[in-house]
Amino acid sequence: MTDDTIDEGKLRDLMNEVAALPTSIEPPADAWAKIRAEIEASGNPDRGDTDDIDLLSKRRHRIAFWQRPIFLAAAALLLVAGSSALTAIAIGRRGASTSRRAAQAPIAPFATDSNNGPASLAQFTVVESDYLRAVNDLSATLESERGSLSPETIAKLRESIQVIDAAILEARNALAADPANKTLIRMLANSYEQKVDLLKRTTEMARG
Amino acid sequence: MTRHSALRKSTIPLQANWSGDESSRALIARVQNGDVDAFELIYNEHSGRVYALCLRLMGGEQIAATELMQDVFVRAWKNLGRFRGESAFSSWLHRLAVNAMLENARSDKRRVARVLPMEDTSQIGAFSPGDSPELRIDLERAIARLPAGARTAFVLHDIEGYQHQEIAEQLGVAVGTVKAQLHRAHKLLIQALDR
Repeated sequence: MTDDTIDEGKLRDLMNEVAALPTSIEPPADAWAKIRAEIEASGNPDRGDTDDIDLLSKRRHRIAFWQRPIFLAAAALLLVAGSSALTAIAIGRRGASTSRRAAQAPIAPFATDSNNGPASLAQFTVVESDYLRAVNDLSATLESERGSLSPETIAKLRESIQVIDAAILEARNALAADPANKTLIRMLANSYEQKVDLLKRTTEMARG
Repeated sequence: MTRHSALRKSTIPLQANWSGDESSRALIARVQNGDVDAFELIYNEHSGRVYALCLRLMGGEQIAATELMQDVFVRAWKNLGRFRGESAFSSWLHRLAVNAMLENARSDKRRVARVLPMEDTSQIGAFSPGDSPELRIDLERAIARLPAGARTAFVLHDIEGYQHQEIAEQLGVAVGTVKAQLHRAHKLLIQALDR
């Protein structure tokens, strides 16, 4: 075997041995007693809205968030899926009619693609207020139009907004530790832009 | 090959579908209502697999593995009220174990050196199969003696069946790092077992 290569036959033998490892090993007999004492002291299991998948997601978020682009990719996918679902629902219910008028929502302050974005957190903080104002205006408009949205659409919107808000919060927290990180600033700007875009498109749907 | 003194093969399939098992569903419903006896039944059913995982992740240290397993089941108790049955219960429990291990390791510097340093390759190559090259080392002992990063990658990927990407996400490292550690683990284990 050289420094960098592994003999395939030996690796196969190793994997065969691994497959034969016991999947279960008896824990110490007194292990349960301590668990029982602890859970009896802690009261009944928590009941909450978080399911098992959310639980894992929250745990993952605490681990080096900005080093895990997969989270953002997943969030973006969910956003796209959520937005697509919103569109599909709206089209299905409204006979694929196009919007008669655009929402009177503010346009995102600047485009933030991989090559274009705020150069610093200080610069972004200035435009962040514009994003927040746009979000507030669109949310108020949407609230007044919510009667024309189906419950499924509202649920999808809430789900997507929650994903984006989580991404914003995580990016904000990560920036607190690393304020000069331009990738994080760009991620934060992108998240805001996604939120504004989602609210704007939903408002357009609501207005038909 | 010698084995741990008290082994039992699990009767629970790795991807058992909790939501499809009426008796299990009834059991978990009881637990969600605070029934400790029902939780003991769950413990009896799953503790062997969870302990095996904990023991391997903790490098064969039984006290640390027992503490980790106890922590996992206490967490499971606290969170079972939120379990919706959308994933296999055994998978949920194992993820809880891995998460607990990582969380504990980060809050306990004593464990960090034993479990986490995926990026630290300084120990790689330091593995010695023993004082005598003729010494027979079984696989469990060899795994326990792997450097921490290589062992974690090996246990999660080759024994528990996690994907590279998934391990990288959980550990907060690059996929390439996981693959490199896994490769090192294979090399070191083959060396150790090359009798």
